[in-house]
Amino acid sequence: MIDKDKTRQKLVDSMRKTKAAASDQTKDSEQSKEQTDGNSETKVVNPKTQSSKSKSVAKSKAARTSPGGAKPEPRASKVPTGQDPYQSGRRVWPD
Amino acid sequence: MPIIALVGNKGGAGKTTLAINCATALARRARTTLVDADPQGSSLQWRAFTEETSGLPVFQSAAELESQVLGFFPQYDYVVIDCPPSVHALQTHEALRVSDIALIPVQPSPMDLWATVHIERAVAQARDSNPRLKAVLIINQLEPRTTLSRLVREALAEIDLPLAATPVRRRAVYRSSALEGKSVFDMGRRGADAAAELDQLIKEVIPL
Repeated sequence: MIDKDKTRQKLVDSMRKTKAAASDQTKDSEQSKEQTDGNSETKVVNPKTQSSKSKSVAKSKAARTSPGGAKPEPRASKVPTGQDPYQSGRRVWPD
Repeated sequence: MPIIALVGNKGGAGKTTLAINCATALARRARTTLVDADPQGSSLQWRAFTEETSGLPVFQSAAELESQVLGFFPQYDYVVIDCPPSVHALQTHEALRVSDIALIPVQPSPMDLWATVHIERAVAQARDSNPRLKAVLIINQLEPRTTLSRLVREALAEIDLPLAATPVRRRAVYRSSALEGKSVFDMGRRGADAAAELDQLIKEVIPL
């Protein structure tokens, strides 16, 4: 009788765990689908490419505007304090 | 004109055996056909074992299962679809979209029970496009003396789908009849208990 109760509990627990895992899986797949849909609409910019591009642009601008070779201001100084990296636009997907 | 799909998420649950025998039972009452939507083609193979051509025609599923099945009416009163052993299969999705009743055989074993959890979701999704779909769990290959068989109802209560009161017991006649290209209804005394059980199940879950 005790063995039967143990088996019952194990069986019911395993069903609940499987159900919870299936539910999580569904949520994850829905989220990733939403993200994929969103990504297809908005163009994702590679941070490395972006930063290297902006650096080269800054360098060329600096070269044009200041023949003396004035250094551009560090990027951090342009970011207003109190903003997180996402708000400031410094970090983009993937983080 | 009910369309009945035998659905499952695991091989060996008894979909094809139930499809063959339920279709035969229905064919004794009305014009019935069986569509084999499982790429394994076991129902077609079963039909090939007998020279008997009347009674229950078996068709291989076409690429467009929905239009194929709807095309069977008004020639047939019942269409039974034997689905592949996965809720992720295209044929299962199509069958659920077109069917009136989904019969889901479940063996009293942990692996079968766990696999059945995913059917609940598949049925819910199918109901978005097919609100008339009824789904019923059927305890299959019940061995009343085993502990798991005694506990299977409690385990299935965790799944939000109704459970048929009539279980299908594990019987050797299902296998021996298949070997002869027959159903349990053609096996005389040997198949009498199984036939009575299936008649009771059909009466419970399929509108006649």
